[in-house]
Amino acid sequence: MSNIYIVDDDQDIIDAVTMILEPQGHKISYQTNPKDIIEKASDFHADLIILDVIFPEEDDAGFKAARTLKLDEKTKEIPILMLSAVNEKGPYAGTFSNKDRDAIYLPVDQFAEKPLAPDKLLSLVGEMLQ
Amino acid sequence: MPEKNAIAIIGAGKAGKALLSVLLQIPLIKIKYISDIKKDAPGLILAKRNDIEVIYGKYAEKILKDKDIDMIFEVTGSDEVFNYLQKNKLPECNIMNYSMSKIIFFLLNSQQDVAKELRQYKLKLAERVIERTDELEKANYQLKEQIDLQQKLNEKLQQINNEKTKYLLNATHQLKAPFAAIQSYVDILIEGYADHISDKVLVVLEKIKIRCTLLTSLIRKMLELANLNSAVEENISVQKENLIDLIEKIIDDQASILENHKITVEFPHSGQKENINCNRELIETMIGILLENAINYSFDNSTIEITVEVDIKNRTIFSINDHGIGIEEKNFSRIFNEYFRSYSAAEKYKNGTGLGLPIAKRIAEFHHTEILVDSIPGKGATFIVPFRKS
Repeated sequence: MSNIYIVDDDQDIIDAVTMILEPQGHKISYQTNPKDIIEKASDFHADLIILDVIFPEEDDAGFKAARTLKLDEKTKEIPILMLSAVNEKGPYAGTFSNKDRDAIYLPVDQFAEKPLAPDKLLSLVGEMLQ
Repeated sequence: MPEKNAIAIIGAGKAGKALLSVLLQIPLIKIKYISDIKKDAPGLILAKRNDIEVIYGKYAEKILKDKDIDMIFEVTGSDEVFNYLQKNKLPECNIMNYSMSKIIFFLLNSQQDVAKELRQYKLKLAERVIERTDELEKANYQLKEQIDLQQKLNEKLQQINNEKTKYLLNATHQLKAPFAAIQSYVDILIEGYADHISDKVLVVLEKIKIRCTLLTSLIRKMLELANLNSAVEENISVQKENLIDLIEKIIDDQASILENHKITVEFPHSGQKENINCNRELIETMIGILLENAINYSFDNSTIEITVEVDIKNRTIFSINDHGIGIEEKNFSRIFNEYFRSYSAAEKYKNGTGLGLPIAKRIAEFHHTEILVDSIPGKGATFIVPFRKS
């Protein structure tokens, strides 16, 4: 079973994701802002990071955090699932459409829109952990 | 070297003065002398002012002896003087008598009048040109000021519009995020991640879930429309896409809903390429909306026909035809207004948002085209989008 690290400013999302993933035997830890994410995620030995996009202090803090994670030796191998209420047709549409062309620009392994149905979340997480 | 072509005038009375003043206007003519017996003759003052030598006396001997003088105008009118001049002049010198002098005076004078008039006319013209230039400059300036003002107003309007859209985007996003949390909890309850729940509770939860899904779809559409409204055409990437492939994919996406309603989509084509210049994502959304509408307002067990044809103007014509409730003619344009839903539409499909067609319309506009509607209420509706051939 795996260590899943959630970074989301919405405690309810953290709780809901935990309620779905914990019964599967995963160990969950979280933080509600993307500060010191490298240290915290590597200290937790995260196997997967579930990352939000919009944080109260900065609209695209999630993108920045993803870039930081993928550029650091300690965390670059950890798959990132970006989970956000922002959808592909939203204000970041351009960013998302770039993901195939330019992996550095949006360095996440998967993107999913909130709310994500429990079965979909489970299958996505299962896939990413393999 | 003695000066040549010098002129002398005998007689500085009225006639002499007039002739002198006319001759003075002609460049390259040198008037060397003027003579009169009277020291206060009217022409003398003018002569002195123009550095012409004044000689007093009846016959002006000095003039007659001067080799420079080749023409003498006799304007005293006295035959005696003329005869004397004629008799005593140097051989090269010509004497003009009073009558000839008069004719020459009139000729020169009228010529000068014309010249003067012409000069005055030119001056007036120049004045008018300056005046008109001034006026034009003024008008130009005013126009520029007006344009500046208009530009400033436009910028301000654009700014207000952008702010409004930004606000709407933020507000809808702010709505969507907490709502996603609610929906997640409902899902957790329904799917038993929290605890086992009774069937009665499950029924209620399912109802909550449906409303959640609808509200999410509404918020998503609001976001989409706000995005489209704030989008700038230059920023929308356009490339060649095969409309046939695109439609096939959209039909595939709706397969399960079509199955549920036992609706068949007929899309006859020979696998040919019908390329259009478009933004793939937007056109997928637009045709998706038209197909969803066709499904939602069709009667079960009916068919939806989609065609792609090239017309005589070489445009690629997309058309979708359903056999559903149709649209009353008075609503043909209203269905494109945000949040408008006809009574019959709301009755047939209560979960509509009233935002689908406005979104589709905006997308069509971005592609320099429009959505045309035709319908017989109770029989079905046809939506047509003509694309410029790529």
